[in-house]
Amino acid sequence: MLIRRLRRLAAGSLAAGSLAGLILTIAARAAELVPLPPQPAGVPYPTEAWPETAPGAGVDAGRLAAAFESAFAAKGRGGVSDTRALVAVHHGAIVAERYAPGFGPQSRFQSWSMAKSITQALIGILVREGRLDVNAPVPVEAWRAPGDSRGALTFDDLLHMSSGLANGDGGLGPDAFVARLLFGEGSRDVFAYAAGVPLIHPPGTFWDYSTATSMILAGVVGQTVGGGREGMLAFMRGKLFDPLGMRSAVPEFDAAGTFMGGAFVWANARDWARFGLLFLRDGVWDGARVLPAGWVDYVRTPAPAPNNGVYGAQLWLNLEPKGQQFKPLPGGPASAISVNGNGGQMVVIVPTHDLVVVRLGEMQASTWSSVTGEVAAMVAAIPPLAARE
Amino acid sequence: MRKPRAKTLALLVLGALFAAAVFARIRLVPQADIGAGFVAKQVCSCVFVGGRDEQACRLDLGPDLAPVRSEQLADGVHAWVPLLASRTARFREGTGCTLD
Repeated sequence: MLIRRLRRLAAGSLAAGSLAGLILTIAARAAELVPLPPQPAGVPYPTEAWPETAPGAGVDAGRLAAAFESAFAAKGRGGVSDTRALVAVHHGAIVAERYAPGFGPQSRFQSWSMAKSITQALIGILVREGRLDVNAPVPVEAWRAPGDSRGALTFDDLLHMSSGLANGDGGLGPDAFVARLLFGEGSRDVFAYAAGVPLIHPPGTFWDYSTATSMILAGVVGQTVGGGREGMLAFMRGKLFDPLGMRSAVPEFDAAGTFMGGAFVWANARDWARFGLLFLRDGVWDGARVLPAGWVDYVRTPAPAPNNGVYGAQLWLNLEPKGQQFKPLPGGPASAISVNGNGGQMVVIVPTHDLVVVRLGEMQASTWSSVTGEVAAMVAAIPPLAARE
Repeated sequence: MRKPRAKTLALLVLGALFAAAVFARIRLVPQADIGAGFVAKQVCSCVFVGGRDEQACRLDLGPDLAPVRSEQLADGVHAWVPLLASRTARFREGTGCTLD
């Protein structure tokens, strides 16, 4: 309630500028957040090549190896293991990496919903550049008519999956909204389809996981940077992928030219690890700010809707779930941030352990619970930072 | 006696056909459309962006999608359910696959 009131207060007094509201909102919440660890001295950022090293002091190498072994045990159709890529980055260097037969460091994997966090990072970049304001209304043409209550929806509402729009995923079956959006009648123009729904809850009050919401955000990024598909690609490369060295990243678009920012980005495991490291380093890459100051704290603070406990801004937090939600990494540290996608795609960022784990592949013979158990076992093999001091 | 019975039967058959057509339009066509879209997009990206072969990509999609047929094109993948739906995904360097 307090946070919500602060947010409204901030939104109301925003003549001062776009970041003021964000900073005020963050200040109200940041007290509980675990500090993000700095890049260790002498370890280069992996813009060109990834530093690689043996697991360092304090790491239980046997336990880490066993966790890796166990992660590749579940075999799906055709005898291919469900885990196809597994990478652990500790103190900024790759300490363990393995691929299923037929896959390797060059193999690109589909993000599914991990794309949502990329879309969120793009919003962050536009906020840093002063081109968007998280507390401002989302400029969607179809919502601009006088009296349309959707016109009041803010980026903050959408980033928190709390828009109140009737466009929640609605499961995984062929009747689900998300199936129609990605592959059916909505797939030719995802922005219009995602936005063309009524408001069924007051903005900000009801959390509902919505790929459509991320498509709206991606659509607005596209219209903000301009230039259609090519303009968006140039923006994504110039401001996010190239600075991080994510050279394998391939974002996909619909026929209308909207980035499919809720589900479709392909990249290799090492590039997904680069993306995770950006958040672990507070949005700063090799001395240059990619995401605005305070952005990572903003996205790793739970959305305020009363039925949410584990969702921040377009990513998951390892806190206490509410209602239909599940804990992203049972047995793992509360500070863990999880960038998740369908089929067990995962970039897990663990500030207390200065760790990023990337798990990519399928979930044919495994389950969310088995996959997260394997990742939690890997985290358990790494000593927390506090224990080292 | 005979004529009215034949008429009733004919009406029942017509009614059943109409109901089947409505059901197909409302239920089967959208489902087939989503199935074709799913297979076209997923296989296209898997082959052209993921660098795997078509058979391996289809295997990952599972047996539920067996009614959807697919064919790899020079620059994409065409997928269809006979009489019900057809979608094509095209590959472009840099931006992956896009459904038509």
